[in-house]
Amino acid sequence: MRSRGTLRIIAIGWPAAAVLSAPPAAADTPTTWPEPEPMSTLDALLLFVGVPAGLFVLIALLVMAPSVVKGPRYRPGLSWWARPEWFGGPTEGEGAHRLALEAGDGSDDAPASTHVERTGGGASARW
Amino acid sequence: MPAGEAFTPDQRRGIEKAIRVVQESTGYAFSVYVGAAEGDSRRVAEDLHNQLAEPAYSVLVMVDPAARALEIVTGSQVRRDLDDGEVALAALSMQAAFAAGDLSGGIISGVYQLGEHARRPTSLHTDHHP
Repeated sequence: MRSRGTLRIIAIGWPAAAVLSAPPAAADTPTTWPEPEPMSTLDALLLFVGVPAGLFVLIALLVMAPSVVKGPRYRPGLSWWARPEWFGGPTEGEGAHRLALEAGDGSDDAPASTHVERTGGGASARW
Repeated sequence: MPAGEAFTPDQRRGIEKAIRVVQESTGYAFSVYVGAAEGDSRRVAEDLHNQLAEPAYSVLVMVDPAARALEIVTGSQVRRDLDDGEVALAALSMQAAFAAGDLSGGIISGVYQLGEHARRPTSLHTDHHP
């Protein structure tokens, strides 16, 4: 048991002694190094602020470029900006002449078109 | 709000192609309206449907992104092959796509789904289409 306690003291004490007894670092700048010219504030600003800011802008542009090219995108909950579009509507194809006819003598046709066949079906949904 | 295009040219082509394919496979006219509908959206959708060349043989899908409303109107003849349950099913999947922000994808898959259900069994001896 005694030898174990000694071992323990050595195990803790030796590293602690090694660390604590180390002399403070006393190295000076080697005289062989070239003497740098003092940097002006403007240069320092350019280097340490301008370059990171430039990188920041560049990366932001790279990230945003695809969506800028693709144009605005629909997001639920945000307001809608686009003008209405009708695919396969009456203005194209064979329906066009019918719409033109209705526009020609509108007054007596208008009530008819509001109660034409209501026997169709369908479904509604919200999101 | 700046006025803009609702779809990119690619998306627009996709929707037009879906409509064309489905019209050829079913023989019914499909139409998709994307825009704001003032007032009762069901009413507006039915009015749009009645403006089509042959309402009885037409399906109108109206999407109002501003009001987040989807209306699908089927004509009386279309309804024989495309019952309201099937339409509701297509509406459900479109609704899910729209809620995720995929407007064109929802429209395209919804149109295809409607067309799939509306496809009539090929019968050579009946004659109920003009």
